[in-house]
Amino acid sequence: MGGKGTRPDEDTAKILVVDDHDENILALEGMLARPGMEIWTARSGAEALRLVLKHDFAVILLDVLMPIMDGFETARLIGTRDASKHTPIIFLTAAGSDVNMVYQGYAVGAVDYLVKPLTPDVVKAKVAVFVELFRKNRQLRRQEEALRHVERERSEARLKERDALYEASFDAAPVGIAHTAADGRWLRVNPRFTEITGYSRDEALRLRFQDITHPDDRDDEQTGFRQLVAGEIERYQREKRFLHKDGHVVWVDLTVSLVYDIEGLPKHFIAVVDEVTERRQDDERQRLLANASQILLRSLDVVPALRDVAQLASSALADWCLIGTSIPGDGDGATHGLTISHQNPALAAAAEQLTERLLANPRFCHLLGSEHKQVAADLSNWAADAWALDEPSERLLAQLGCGSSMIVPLAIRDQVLGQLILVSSAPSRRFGAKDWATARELSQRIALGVENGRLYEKSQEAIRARDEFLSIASHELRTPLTPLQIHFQRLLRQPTDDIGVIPDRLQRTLERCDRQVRRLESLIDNLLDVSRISSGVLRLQLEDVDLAEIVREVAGRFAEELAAAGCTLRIEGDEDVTGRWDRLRLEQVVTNILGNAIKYGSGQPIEITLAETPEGARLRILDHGIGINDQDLPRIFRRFHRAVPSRSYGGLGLGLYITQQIVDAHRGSIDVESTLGRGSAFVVKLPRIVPGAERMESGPHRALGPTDERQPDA
Amino acid sequence: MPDLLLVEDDRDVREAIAEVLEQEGYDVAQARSGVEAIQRLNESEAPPVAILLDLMMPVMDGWEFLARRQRHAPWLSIPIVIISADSNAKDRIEALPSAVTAYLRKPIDIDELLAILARLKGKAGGSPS
Repeated sequence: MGGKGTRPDEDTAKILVVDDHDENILALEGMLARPGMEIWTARSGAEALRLVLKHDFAVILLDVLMPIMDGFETARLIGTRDASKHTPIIFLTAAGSDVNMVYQGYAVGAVDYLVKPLTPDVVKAKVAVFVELFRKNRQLRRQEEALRHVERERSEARLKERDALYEASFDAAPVGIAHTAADGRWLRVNPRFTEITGYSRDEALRLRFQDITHPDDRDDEQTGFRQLVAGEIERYQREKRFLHKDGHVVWVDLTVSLVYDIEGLPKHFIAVVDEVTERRQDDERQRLLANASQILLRSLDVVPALRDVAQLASSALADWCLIGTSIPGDGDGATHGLTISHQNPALAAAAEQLTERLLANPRFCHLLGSEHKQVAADLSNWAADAWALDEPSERLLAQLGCGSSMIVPLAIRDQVLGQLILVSSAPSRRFGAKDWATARELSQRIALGVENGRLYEKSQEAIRARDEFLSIASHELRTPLTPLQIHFQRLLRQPTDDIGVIPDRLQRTLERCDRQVRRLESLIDNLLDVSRISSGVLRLQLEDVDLAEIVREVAGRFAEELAAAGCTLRIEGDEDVTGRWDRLRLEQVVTNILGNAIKYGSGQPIEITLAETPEGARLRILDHGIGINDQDLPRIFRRFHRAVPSRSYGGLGLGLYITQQIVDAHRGSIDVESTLGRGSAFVVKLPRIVPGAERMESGPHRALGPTDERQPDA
Repeated sequence: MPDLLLVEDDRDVREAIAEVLEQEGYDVAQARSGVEAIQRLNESEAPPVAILLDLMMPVMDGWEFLARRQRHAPWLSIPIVIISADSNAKDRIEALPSAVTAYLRKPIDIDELLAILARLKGKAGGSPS
């Protein structure tokens, strides 16, 4: 049986009337009918229960006495259903009913009673209360629902907003951000990340972390990840290298942390990647320049230095580096040098082959020393034409990889000494302003190094030429002296055999000639000594020597000259002053100083004092001659220095220089005190044993006399 | 073979030395280069008491002569006295595979040479004729 809906108003309250008597139902309908009310009727408990399931009633009027299922049973069942358990029930009961029935009704959820016969006003009033209550409740519910709806909408909007914000910051972040699975697979990457690595989003998601990490950084990173997972560190951070899709190295500052799920299990890694290649490159550029300078300054041997510099540049500034030199010679020709270094050691052989081919290429060699321009080019295109490359060279060039390149002349003053070529083998890499500045600076430093080496080589060449000349000159000068000396000696020794008695005058003349031959010989010796000293080959032949004996011998040789000069000579001091020295060199020392004393002695007495000291020997030769002025005093041991006008006093100005060099070689000292017009005192001190002399000493096995002039051992 | 073989390219030097030595009673054969020295040695049956050898000579210098001598065992026993003006020769001489007896630098002291030769002659068992 259906209800009678008056209008489908929101505010309509449904009332259910349950009674098995039609007249009761009709009577109640009549009493309750009014706008806003919808009366539903049921004639049994079962029917009522069905309606209760479908509708939400404001109040149920329930007859107690019904067949099959009475009002109480119906009320109990209504109360068991969630939808209806709070629906108020008003029982309809006959007058004079048992009070127990009333209690029973309340026990099963009745809110009121209406006693038949029903009084319309009472019914209306009581029902109106519940309808009103129902309406209020429904209104409240609706309001609550509306509120809840608004709340829900708001929180959904907030969530969306948050997602959008996260999404936006992930996408727009100026640093690379990526999520990585435990096995290293990229799960999510942001646009900046794809920019840094060169891989698109899709490409990246097919790769793993380790696939794009520089091999040298992989181990360290594995360790870092393990530590993260093990909870030993909260965050893993380091500067590392990624390999860009096109092959070049990208330096990044990497921070990795681990994200956990609700259960606390590791979910994925978050990697934040900040590219620092630029900063790294700035550092590297500065380091490259500093190191290159150091290498070039350390050695005057340019070839290995350039090789090292090329190697540095090939890893710091480019992928490979070519340094070619063209050193002008004396004539038109130039000496060409070339070194090519590739940062990939596997290409060393190709670099070597290209080096050989280019050095054999006249066009290339010509350009090395003549090309003034700086060139930015794609090397393979440029070189094929500019260097007129043959096919094998082109192949080698391609093997090394040819992208952007910088070709900078090694120029100093207005001379071009070669070319510096820096090549990037990654096609995408273009050299920037900073690279150019570095290349130019590097080229200047190399040019300076090459120029230094060249000048050094030239000076060495000049020294070699001088020494060679001196050697030849001395040979040429000595040769004619040989027969001269032999003949004089013969004449002096056997004067009577051939020409009868030689008159005294001739005898003296012969003696003078013989002395002059010896003097010539000694001058030649001095020249050679200087050459030897300057090339560092003055070697001592050490043996047990008595300096006193040497002094006496040399003094003996000067007897005639002393007499001629009118000087007396007194030798004082220890009789025996021995040490391990070079006998002939010490003879030279005594000869030079004593010779000077006689020469500049103004005919005054000369005194030699010889003493054995705790350290070794002390020799003092004192004259009372012209002396040396203060300005000249510090300079007298210099080569070719002469304190006196060369016209009045002969000599090359080498004697004291050689003397000092000999004393130095013995690790001794020579000092001079002099007063102009009063004379000079030379003091030589020698250590008894020359420190570090073991290395210099000659072994007993040698068949030759230790020095040129030495008599052979018996 | 004469007592001494004198190898020297400079005529004045060679003759001056030869004269003195002959005066001292030595029989001196002369050669102007290493090539001639080898000829003299090949011509003679008995080896000389000593070879006086200059180093810087045209055609075949003293070094080359010494190298040839090295490959010819009978000559190895002949004492060598080097007479040279080359002041840088000493290191090279010391590095030779077989020792030379003496090295005199030009201009030589004739008494020194005579003393060396007297010793060598004494060892060889003879005396100047």
